[in-house]
Amino acid sequence: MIYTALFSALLFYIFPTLVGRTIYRVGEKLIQRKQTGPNESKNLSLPFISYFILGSFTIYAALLVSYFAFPNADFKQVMQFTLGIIAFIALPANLIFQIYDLSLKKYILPITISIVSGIIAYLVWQINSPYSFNWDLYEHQTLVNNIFQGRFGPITSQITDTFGFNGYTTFFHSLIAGSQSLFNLNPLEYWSVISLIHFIIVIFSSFLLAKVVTNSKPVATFAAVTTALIFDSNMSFSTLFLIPQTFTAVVFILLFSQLLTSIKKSSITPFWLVMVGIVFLLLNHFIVGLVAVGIYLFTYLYFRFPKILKDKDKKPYMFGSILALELVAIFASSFISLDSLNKGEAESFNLNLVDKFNTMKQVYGYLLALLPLGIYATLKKRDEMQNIFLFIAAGLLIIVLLNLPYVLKFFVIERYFIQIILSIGFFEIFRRITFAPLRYLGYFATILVFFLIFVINSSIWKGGLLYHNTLSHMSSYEENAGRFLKERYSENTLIISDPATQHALEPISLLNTQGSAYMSEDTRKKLIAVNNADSTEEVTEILRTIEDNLAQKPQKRLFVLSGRYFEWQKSPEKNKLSLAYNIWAPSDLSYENIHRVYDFIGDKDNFKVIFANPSMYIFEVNN
Amino acid sequence: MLRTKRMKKIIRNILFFVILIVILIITLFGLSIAKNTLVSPVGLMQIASFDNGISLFQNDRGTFYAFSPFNDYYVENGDRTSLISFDEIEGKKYKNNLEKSKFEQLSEMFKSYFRLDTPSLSYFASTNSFYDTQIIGNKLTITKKVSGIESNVENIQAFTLPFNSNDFVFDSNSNLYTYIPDRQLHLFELIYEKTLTPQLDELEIIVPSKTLYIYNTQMAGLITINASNSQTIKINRNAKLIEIEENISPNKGIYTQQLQIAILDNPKKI
Repeated sequence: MIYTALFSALLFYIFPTLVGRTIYRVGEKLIQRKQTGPNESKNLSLPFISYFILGSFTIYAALLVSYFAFPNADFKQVMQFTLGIIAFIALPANLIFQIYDLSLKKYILPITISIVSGIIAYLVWQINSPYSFNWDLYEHQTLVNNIFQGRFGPITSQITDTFGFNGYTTFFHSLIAGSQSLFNLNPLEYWSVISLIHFIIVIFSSFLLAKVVTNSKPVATFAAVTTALIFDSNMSFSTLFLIPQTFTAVVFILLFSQLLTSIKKSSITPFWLVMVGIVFLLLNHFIVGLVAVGIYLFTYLYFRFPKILKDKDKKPYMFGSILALELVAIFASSFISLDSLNKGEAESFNLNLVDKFNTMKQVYGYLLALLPLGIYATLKKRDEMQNIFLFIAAGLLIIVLLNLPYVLKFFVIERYFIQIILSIGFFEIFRRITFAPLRYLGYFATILVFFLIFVINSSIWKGGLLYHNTLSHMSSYEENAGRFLKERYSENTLIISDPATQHALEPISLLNTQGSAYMSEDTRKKLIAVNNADSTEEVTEILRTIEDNLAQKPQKRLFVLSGRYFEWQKSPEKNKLSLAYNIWAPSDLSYENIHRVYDFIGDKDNFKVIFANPSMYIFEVNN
Repeated sequence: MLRTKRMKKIIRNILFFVILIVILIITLFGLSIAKNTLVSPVGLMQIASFDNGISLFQNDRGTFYAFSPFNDYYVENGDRTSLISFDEIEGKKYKNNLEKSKFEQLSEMFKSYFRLDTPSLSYFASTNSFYDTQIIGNKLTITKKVSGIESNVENIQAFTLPFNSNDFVFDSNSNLYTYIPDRQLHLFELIYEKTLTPQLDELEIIVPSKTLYIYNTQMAGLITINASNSQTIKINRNAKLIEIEENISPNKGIYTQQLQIAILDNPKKI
């Protein structure tokens, strides 16, 4: 089974890349293009990222078209058919273009470093953990399942009410669905494997960016290895979780590296490819994509039209003014009332400067104290590209520090910049240790400290996830319950439980819930009323009023009384109404919980037990 | 001249190496450390060291079962003495080893992450006591070493474990040693297919079996005490204590006692 998951996860990246490569190469051959700008590239730098983006667009567009073309067909079959046709054309074409002309030789070192450090760090991360720690995978898999069930379109909230906020389109999910559609696989295994592949790609892209910026293999290698060991454990989660924001960030870093490489070669990425990249970034995450596009476009225009900034004397003033303006914004944001922005879920993610300092301290220890050394070493070189790199890093860092909700998410991009400046700082010290054995000892000691930080940071992040000798968000009891429901119940069935139980069961059972972990306030209040009800008849009445906004009037309602459900019900009301609060670890039923369960078992008119294990009882509610 | 140049180079190398190491050490001080650095899983429960003993608990469910010298005792010539006396507790005339340096905490956390170590705890008072744990899956062995008992002769050493009044405390013969209302008893029978017989005539009872179960109604998991042939289990309902007594001879002034515990998923697993 794991081989199927591995193959499918690899397909997520490889299939679009091969399709994109065909399109690009066919276009190059058939259309006799004239160069429209100065030194527009014929030999594309880091071509695979453009291939991937082009191929992704093709697949997404083809799926959208086939969805509207065959509205009544089984969409999973339509999907397989569409992807089959694309594969039939693209794969033989790739053979013709000779896959090995990618000149893989120069990538052997970064690929090897990325795979080795990625696998080691990932194994340490996943130690004693049977499932991926990516809490968001459950909602993304839910959306993928909905696509398989024929609910497709670009807007996430119109497919499932698990997504109340449209932060991105279904682009990312359609690629996941595409790679899962060929096999009958275990989605949890799939996500474990694809998280590792994503992690390796993050390390690889860190190497590429560091290499193009610093032109130094040792610095790039150091940046790559330490990237594996720095886990930004609050809100941005760049490395270990594959989610739209981290996917957008890593694609941006590859696009940015491609742009800088082509600039170094005195050629510029074709404008149409830049535009395709921009649309891709925006569709995959509106907010992170917007920042990425800002940086990408700024860098592109700066080097594409150098005459705009011809007067060298004015440059420092211009860049200085932008940074000063941002600094003023930091202080202003502390004084201006931003209550309207910081309401609801955002309230939980609105960290002040002290919180952010503590977050950074947790992720890096005091390593960031080396940043000034890295900045000094960079400025000393008086290299225009490095200065622009620093400017972007500083500008983005200031935005991250603003007193606004969610801005810490931008660290998903910033962390690549920080990692490289930090590596430059370290190498300012390393290069002064000329006695080789001592220098290697220095490398070893540094990596060891990074490793220790990684372990401590991971350990704190996982605090409270202990369950049955493992660390996990999910249990085998929940997985088994989900499979049972998948076999027994049809789509038009609504699962009702606490947010975390719904979140765990929905993607495995393929059944619907109201909002999953992002349950509406109205449903939360109804569940609170369930807990305060005097009789099981009253509970039945309340449960009958719970509906999904997108799939109303379910044929059946299933009420799940799990260990998590009872723990959630014991929590303060403020927590129960909060989207940021969940019972994160699985929990088995206590005697007291089962005592309560027996009240429902006793009401045979309204509740029928359909499943039970030490973690939960599932009842079919008389509709 | 050459030698001076070489000397300078060596000093420069050493200087920057030392700077690097100092930076790395300072870096570690920036890390936040969890309050309980060493928490080990034992089946459905966890064990960690706290001020009031080395305790079994379950995530945030808020109940702790502590082994500690505040209740543990020894008996000599019929006199029962707590390892830390009431006066010492009142006057806080005791110390433990929970205060740790940053680097000790880091080391513990690192070992805990890879499960290379399990919790231990020392108390220093008129008698010194050291509790250590070994864990294999859902099985826990607690070893207690007591020193500072002046007589240095064979005596009775006892582990204790407090229980709550609404816990199901029963033995392998299905004798129940806590008062549980009939309705709950009936439900227990229904769920776990086990009939328990209340034995509530006396406040202090010697358990006729070597296995005793403690089932907290608010937690999942069942604490099972597996006494050895040389150990006697007593229920002290007055003090709500389970006492596991054993005759122990000192070895170089140290009394060593061991207790085997297992955490089962629920009473059905008995």
